[in-house]
Amino acid sequence: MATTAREEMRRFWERNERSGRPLSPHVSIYKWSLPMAMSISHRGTGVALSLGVSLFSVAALLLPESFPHYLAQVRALGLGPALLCSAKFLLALPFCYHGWNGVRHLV
Amino acid sequence: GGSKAASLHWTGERAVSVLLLGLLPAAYLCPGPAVDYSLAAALTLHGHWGLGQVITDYVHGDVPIKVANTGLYVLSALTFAGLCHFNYHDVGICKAVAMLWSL
Repeated sequence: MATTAREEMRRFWERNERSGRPLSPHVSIYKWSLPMAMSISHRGTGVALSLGVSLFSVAALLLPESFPHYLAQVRALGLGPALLCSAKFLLALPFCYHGWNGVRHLV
Repeated sequence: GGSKAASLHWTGERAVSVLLLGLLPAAYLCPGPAVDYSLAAALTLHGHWGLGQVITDYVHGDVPIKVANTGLYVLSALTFAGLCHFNYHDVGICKAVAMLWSL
């Protein structure tokens, strides 16, 4: 019986990896374009937001106190308005970018 | 012919995205348990499918793919459980965002 396509693919990759050939530069040399940058930013913000939501969820499961309790603790830190505003901006930025760029993808 | 699974998945992804978008004004205008739990579901599913695409793009090899996808399932299950727990035992997503922003 002749080899299957799957077997031939496997042999190709095995030989290729064994030869230890270097990979040509691609991402590092290709001229950046706006669509490229926007696309990877969409992915980056998406992953970051997802991980943020998951972190929040796991914290909700593990931490003993309630949300208002921890919020009161943060309020008690007496952080200045500049710091609070910057923090809100840093949270809102990936959210809005991903949201609006998402709409662009949908339409 | 082939299977329609991939095509249906694609459509499902767009549908959940639109639903999630619609939930944002809903969260602002009518906060409450209905929106809280809908957000928990839509957010988890949208994230699960999104991260799934990232795995498909960058993870290669039968075993790494299986490991990554299994890990993703665990993460998404935990995420949904945590969000529902928060909605039930704590103030809920809508209220939490409102409270956080009032800082």
